[in-house]
Amino acid sequence: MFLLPGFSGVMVFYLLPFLEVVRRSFLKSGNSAFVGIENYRTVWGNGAFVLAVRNTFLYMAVGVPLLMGISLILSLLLRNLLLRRRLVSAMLLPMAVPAAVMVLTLQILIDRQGVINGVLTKVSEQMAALPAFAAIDYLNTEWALVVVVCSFLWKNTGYMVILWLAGLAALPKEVEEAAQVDGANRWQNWHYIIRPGLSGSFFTVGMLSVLQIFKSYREVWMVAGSYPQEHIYFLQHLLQNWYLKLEFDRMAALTVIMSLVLLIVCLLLQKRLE
Amino acid sequence: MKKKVRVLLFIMVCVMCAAFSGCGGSQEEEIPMGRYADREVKLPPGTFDYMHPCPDGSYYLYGLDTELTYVDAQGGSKAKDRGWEKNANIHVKYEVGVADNGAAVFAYAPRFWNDEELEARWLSGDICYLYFYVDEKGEKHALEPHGEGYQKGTNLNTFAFSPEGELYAASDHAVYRVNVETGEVESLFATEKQVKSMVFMGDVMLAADDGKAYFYDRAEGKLLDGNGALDVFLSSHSSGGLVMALGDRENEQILYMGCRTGLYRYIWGGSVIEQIADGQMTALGDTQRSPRALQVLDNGAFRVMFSGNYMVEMYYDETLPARPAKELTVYSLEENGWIRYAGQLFQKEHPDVLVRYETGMDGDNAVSREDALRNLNTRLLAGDVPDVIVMDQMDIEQYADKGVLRELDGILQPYLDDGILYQNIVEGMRMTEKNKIYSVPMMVYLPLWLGEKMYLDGEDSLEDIVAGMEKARQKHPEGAILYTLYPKDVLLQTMPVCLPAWTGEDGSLDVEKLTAYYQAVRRMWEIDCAGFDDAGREAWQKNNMEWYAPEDMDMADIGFNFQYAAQQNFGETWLQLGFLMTPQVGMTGIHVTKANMAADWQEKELEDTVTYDAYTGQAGNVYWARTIVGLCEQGKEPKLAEEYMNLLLSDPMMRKWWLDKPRNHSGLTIRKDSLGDILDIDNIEFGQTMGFKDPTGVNHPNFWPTEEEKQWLYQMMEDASCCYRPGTMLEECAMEVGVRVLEGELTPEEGAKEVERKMAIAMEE
Repeated sequence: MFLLPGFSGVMVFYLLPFLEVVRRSFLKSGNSAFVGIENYRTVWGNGAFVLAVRNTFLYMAVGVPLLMGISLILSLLLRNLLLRRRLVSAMLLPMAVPAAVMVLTLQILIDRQGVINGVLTKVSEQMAALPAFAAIDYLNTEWALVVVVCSFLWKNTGYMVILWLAGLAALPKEVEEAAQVDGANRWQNWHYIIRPGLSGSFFTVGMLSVLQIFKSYREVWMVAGSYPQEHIYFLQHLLQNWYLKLEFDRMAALTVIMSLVLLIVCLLLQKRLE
Repeated sequence: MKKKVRVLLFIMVCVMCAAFSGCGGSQEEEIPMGRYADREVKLPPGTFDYMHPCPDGSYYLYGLDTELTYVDAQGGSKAKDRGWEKNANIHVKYEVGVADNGAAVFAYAPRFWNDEELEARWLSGDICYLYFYVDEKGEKHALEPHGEGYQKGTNLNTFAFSPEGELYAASDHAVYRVNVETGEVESLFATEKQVKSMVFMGDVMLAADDGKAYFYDRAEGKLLDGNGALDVFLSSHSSGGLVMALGDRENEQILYMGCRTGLYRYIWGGSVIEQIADGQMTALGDTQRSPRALQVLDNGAFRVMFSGNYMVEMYYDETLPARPAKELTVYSLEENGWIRYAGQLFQKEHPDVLVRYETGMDGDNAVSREDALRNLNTRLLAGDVPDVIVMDQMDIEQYADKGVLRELDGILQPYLDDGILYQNIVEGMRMTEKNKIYSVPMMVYLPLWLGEKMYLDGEDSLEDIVAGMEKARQKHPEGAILYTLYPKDVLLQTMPVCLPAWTGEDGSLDVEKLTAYYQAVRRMWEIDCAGFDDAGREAWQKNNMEWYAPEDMDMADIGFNFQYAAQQNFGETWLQLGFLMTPQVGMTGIHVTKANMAADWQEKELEDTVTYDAYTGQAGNVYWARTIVGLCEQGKEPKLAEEYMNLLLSDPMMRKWWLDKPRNHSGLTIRKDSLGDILDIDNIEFGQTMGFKDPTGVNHPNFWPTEEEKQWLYQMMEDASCCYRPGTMLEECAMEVGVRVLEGELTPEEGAKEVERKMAIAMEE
């Protein structure tokens, strides 16, 4: 009885629409004819889908560990600094920068005639020993993914540092002090005390990093458009383009596939935690 | 306890059922009768833009180039010759104010053509408008504004005579009282913007700008308290023009206001503004015209004068339902004047139907094309389907494939059987895979080149144009050959006639042709740039941007448009590539352009020197489809939509549009008889400003196409079979990469490969 209002909300706003998506995944958009698993077959055999999945997972596989690792190292370095608060505030600045400004900055930096190419050209001109540098169009070469990962790290590191610092602050100082008295070195301190104590934060930071990966699509789209270089063509590009092309049936099938994958991942994680 | 829970559950279920029972249901509702309708008022000969209403129902008509004409309450007219038209010093009359008794005041700019000193003084603001006053007897004298509150050089832009004959005027920052005999000016009050209307209610004058209403007590000489409701109304309803008039109904003074959204009334002293006629159901909603004056008549009707020599009488019709019972929804991504116009005509023919014209990108907001398409697709997904859809800049194949568009073969067949439409153009829209037609363009543009005969005589492919440019460069080492300022301009002028050749029937990209295209345009750009050093190129760009490009016009549009190019008196170029956008004015434009080019080259033999022809590019026989209309399969009013389509394809619709709007650039009509009629119309409007002086010094006030030229145009229409539609993914991609190719970032081969790579993902999708 007490669950009824909440359950009704979930029913109306989540489950029913999802069931409608599942229903549409078996119909042809336009005339709504039943096509069985044809849409799933189309999605599975679609080259753009394969490319988007591969790129999205590669981005995630590179971006998430890098973000978590860099922010953890920074938080450990900042942990005992007096200027910690000010430094952390400064690191949060990229989060406050509007997406449009960020994109503009990125373009100024990575354009073929941008700052990075300019500096590298100057350096190669000055140092005769180095080979001549040819300007790179970063967003239209394999470098595109590196650019996207760098901008992702730049934008999100500060926030993740705060989360790690919160986790570190929650660790009991006495345990670390006792370990130091007992002669534990830094590595032992990290391995036996800090790392196990941060397991809760690890999960939170990991989940948020994955979410931020999906949220960073906006910047990628703004800087490279609907059809970017093939290394930065993600699942969101595919969904957006399909929506513009009225491919609602394929979108529904893709949504169901993605939901199933996420469900399996969640169940595996849950099992592992248990 | 359990019982209580059951009762509670039962009540919840009942409430939910009751709440959802109304969703999506339709109820037969009785619509009350009576609403304002309008009918056109026949105007006396002349081109009028303004009206001064008189209290007895008569009115004065005037235009900036047409003499004052008095029309009595019964509609009889006579010109009141005040002699001001004969004033030789008047170049352009900017503002006119008329009193009830026929006295008038005029503001005009001095003629400074060929007088550099005068022109410099005018541009520096040292001199301003000149004025003169003509009394009711026709006596004229110059009016020289002066006085303590008047700063020399201030232009007076708005005039109004009070019922007693006092003249009031407004500048962009103040309102003044002007003594018409002495010219003495008394500043009354300051305003935030230019006051555009002034009306008088006893001693109180109401002056309104675009965001504020000022009440001024003329007897006491002071500003009264403002009215917040009126201020809000003015700031939200003034775009597109707002007119005011006072009326006296049931012992109450009422202020009537007309604007795009409708006719409103405000009881003097009150705080409520009430709509009495919906703009969408009357001529007020016409976005092509601005209301210029409003007159309240004794019988409860109104006269509204619009820009463009058009007046309507709005009357209350008790036989019409207060709102139409049916609704026909027409959708386009961008505002399309022709489609809006058709909606108004359709509504006139079907008073029981409201034509709701919706645009995805309405100009007032920053909705991108992609956002607008996304919004439209959301609507379609939700079942909110328009009846008629204008497919310009949309992927027709996609929408047809997904069942959004309805097959049009049945509707078009009678037109094709009778040879009414250009079959080749209609067939160009046939979807090869389904062998059906889902949309049809109402107008087309045709590609043309124009230049010196010795370079291009008889040749018109892309390579020939490049070869012609090379010859021209040898003869003219300095300056521009084409009218292109930036790399994008070269691409915009050449891509439409090449793009259809780059894809096969299966949609695959022909990389070889694309490479050849990039090689050709790169060479064109190099040839064009070779005539300038960096500073010269920059000066040429700056000069053209400043003088020839209006804010709302892309430079490429100017390059496309011969008529515009001609009007702007280019002539610094040796070759023009572009599109013929209008039938008659366009043909005139070609001649003016020819004349300008020849005059600039100081060639006497115009016909032997300059020539023009169809420009085939890589594709050949290309036409640029404009106003492509389709009907929606799931539209709510399929019969009405069909009728609407028939109206669009009708001769009166196409002809009337041209008669009313001779200067727009909608394109060449796909109806053979309409195109012929338009070319034959002997209407001064078509050629009024098309006068030009040929190299021999002979002045040609107007030009009408010769029979030979008409036949040439008809043949081009007959040959056009390859459809170009802008806004495709391939075009966007090729344009973006093309700029990089022209700027030297990529070689033509690399550019073509880059496009291929980018298109590969789109193809895979």
